[in-house]
Amino acid sequence: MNAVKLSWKNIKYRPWRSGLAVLLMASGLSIVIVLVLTQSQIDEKFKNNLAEIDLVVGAKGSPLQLVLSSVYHIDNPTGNIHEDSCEFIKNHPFVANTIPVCIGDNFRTYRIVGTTEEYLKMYEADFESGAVWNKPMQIVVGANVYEKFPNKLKVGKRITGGHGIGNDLLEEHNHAHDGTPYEIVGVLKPTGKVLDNMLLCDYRSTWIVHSGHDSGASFDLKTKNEVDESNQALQTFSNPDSTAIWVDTVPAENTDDAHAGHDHSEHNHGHHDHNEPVINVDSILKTIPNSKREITALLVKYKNMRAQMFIPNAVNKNSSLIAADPDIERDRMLKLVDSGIQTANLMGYFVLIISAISVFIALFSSLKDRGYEIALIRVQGASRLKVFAMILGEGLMLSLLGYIFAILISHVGMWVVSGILESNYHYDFNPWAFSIMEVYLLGTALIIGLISALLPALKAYRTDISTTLSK
Amino acid sequence: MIEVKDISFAYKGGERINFPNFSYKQGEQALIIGKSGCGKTTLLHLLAGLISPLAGQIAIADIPTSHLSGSKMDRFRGNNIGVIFQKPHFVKALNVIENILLAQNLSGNQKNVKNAQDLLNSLGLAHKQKAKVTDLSEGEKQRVSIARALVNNPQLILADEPTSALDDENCTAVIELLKEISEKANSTLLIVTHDNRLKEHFSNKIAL
Repeated sequence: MNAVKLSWKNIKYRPWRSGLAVLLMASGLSIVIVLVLTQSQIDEKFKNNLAEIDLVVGAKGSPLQLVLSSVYHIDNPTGNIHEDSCEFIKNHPFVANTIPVCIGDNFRTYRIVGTTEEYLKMYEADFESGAVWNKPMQIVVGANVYEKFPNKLKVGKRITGGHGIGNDLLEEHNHAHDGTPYEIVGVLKPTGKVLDNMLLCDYRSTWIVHSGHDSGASFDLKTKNEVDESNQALQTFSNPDSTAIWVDTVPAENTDDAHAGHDHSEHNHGHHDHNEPVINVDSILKTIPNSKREITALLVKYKNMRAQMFIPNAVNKNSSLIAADPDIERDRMLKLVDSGIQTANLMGYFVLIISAISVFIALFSSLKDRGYEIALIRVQGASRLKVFAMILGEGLMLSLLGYIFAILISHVGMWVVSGILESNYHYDFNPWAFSIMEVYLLGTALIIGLISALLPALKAYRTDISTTLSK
Repeated sequence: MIEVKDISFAYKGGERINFPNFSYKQGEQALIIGKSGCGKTTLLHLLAGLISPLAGQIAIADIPTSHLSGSKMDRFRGNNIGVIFQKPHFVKALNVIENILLAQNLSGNQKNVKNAQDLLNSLGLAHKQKAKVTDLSEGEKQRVSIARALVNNPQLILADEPTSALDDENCTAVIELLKEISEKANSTLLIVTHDNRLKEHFSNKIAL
């Protein structure tokens, strides 16, 4: 029965008081830990995905929303813009490069992003298998998406997209584009960037997919009837007797997601039971008028910084367009997030102060009934210093317990939340990432324990054995 | 073994109390008798080194304990003096055997569970080893506190009113036990009491 064991037994002997102190300590610490980890991961995500974009041009609306939707892919787009309304940017002498971005469709809630090969280069994407598309209706799969559906998403397989993005999509729209399957031509290696949670294709693919619809903005939600009608419209295209647009068929076994479309194709093809159409891309593209050639946003890379003076102004003059500087929007966003986190952090520290008081009260009030015990221990040979150290030890033990629970609570809590973020927003968040801050917090916890135990320990140190025993 | 010479003590704002001189050899037993309030407990605390005398000397085993510094006295007490109190108190968070092992540890002695168990056996408390100290009867509590005082084989055993809370039967049992055990260990036994029932058990008596 040594001093450490004795301290531990004394803590256990008063479970409610000790428990409250540990609980408060754990709450305060886990608030701080969760915030530290969240902030560092958000910062990292936002810095990682910025790449080399100087300006984002999109439909009129909130510039923050435009950047969030087109660069970070966490919000809905502001709308669509006509490709030809951006011509003057592409041709501007100060502009080095532009990349179109089309969003609005999904595969099993993962965004299908129409763009150009430049986009992959910008994020330094490598291929796990296959290669980049060389024509529309070919698709490249991000690493996380592939991981979710490894059987469906092999190179050579065919998939169809659904209408809508993120949590806005309705279940019944998941097969909205059954008539226009994509062919998988590549799978990407993990990049740790937004790419991982996307499927990417040539931006003109979205025009083809939506050519049968008369929807203006591609992210419109439609009722089941509308979708059926538009599918019907597509199927009339595919009648081999009337036009030459459908030039080939492939066996149905190659497609995994197109079964709902069979009902229609059986009626229209007759003898082509269980066969799927392959699209002659160029023919369809020719039929799409300029008014339907829309993109969601244009990512702009300047040739030199003088462009900053001219391009945004020129864009904003156009009544339907808006230019957003991703750096400015990101900083604005992070500032907002930071001030929120700072406020929550204050709360965490406030709880920590309360926990310090509760450790103090737990020890101080227990000493009240333990005065005689302390005197007894002294009579049995313990020095003043030993008694002092024993009480400090109890404070340290309480705070250490609080810290251990805090680590468990915060990481398990983040694991639960990351599951929700992952399934709702495809925002991958690593709950098992540890920060150096957690080591510092251990020090903080121990110091809190030490400080709050100091006064009770001093009281124990000063115990007058003789008078205590004579009471 | 113990020698007390010209000691006096005064509490803050209180009268000065002078104590008689006495000395006993190793293994001797004596009763210190006095009425309530005459300074019996003060004398016991002086002998145990819990307080220091205003004047005079106390020597235990040839060591002038009245001149030992705080932590040295603590260590000396832990090793050489077993104290039994009027009301047996324990560390409530610990069970019977743990309380005795704690006394072993605090004195700086090696952990010896066998020794502690033997002691409890000899006091008829073998079955109470794992019991909570709060669940014991008064007689049992006093026996456990005796076991605790004896576990480090002290040269001097000091007992403060060990029988005042006990009935006649338990009183005789406890006092015989104390005498027997200190004889066996050749410890010097000093009992401070106002309990006249004890007079017949001791030949050495000091009146305060």
